Amino acid sequence: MPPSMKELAARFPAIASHAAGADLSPLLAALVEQPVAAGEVVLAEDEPSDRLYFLWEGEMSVGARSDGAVLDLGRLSPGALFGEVSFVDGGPVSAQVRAVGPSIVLRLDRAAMDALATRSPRLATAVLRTLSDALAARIRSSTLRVEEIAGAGGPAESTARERGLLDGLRRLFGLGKE
Amino acid sequence: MDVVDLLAKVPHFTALSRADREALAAALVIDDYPDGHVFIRQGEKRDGIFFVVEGEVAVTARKADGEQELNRMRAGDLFGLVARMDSAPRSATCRAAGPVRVGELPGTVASMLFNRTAPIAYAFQKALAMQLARDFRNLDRQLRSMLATRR
Repeated sequence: MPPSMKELAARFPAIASHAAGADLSPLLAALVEQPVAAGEVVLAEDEPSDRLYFLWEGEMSVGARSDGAVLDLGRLSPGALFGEVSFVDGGPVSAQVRAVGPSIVLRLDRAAMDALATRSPRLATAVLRTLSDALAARIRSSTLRVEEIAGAGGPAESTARERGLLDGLRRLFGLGKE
Repeated sequence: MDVVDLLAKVPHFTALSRADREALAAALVIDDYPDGHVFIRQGEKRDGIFFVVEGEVAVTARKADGEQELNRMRAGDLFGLVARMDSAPRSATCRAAGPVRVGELPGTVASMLFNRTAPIAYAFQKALAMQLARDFRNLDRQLRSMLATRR
């Protein structure tokens, strides 16, 4: 059953807060509910995508390729948004997102977002503001971690350095310590 | 070029109505600045948004190995968006590279304009999200290449 407006606001409080009391029903109408099977890849790294996903139920694991290896970046829980960078800039997906168990996502296609921006620009702004706030916080947290690594150094510290870089990457994807 | 016509050519603002573009152009404080003029200094706080009308603005940051140019803004580009959204100090310096004509949307004017005209608020929010997506990709690339050299 599709979520109610109240449930949507409770699961994604930042959007509701930025919408500042505006009616969320046009956003609810723009979202497509999509069940996802365990193990199903929702976003494939380097593939094009123009969809923003709202994780409604279940858990997603995030993995990123680096030099032939796949790095496990962590897991997303209900209330998380993902696919935001491609959704915004139209570029390829930056990490793989796979369902850990049976899950439900709500999908916002870019065409639906464009329509929302025309019909309810305040609501569309609230969605983008939520994404922007989260991206900025993650970039800042990750940059701080990278600067810490640059400030330390020395060959004997290589394991700590690698751990630090991985932590920086996790923070960038919103999966490490903020 | 007339600022309203320039705004019509900027991808962020093409979806705006002519009336909204005129309102935006009227809110910009446009002036000519000499080579080297500093609009935003790294580490200092300013909440204005800047729009390049003519000329170029260099974006630089102090790194461990000295001052580095990160980006160059040209006619139609916006700067000052990212740090305005939070209380963090500016992470880069924006300086005129040659004589430039720049429009400033002062912070309080921007807030009033965004409250009054939702499509303008959306256009700026989208421009900001695009810049953050670019910063995300740059940092992602940098981190993965640093990790790859560790293996």
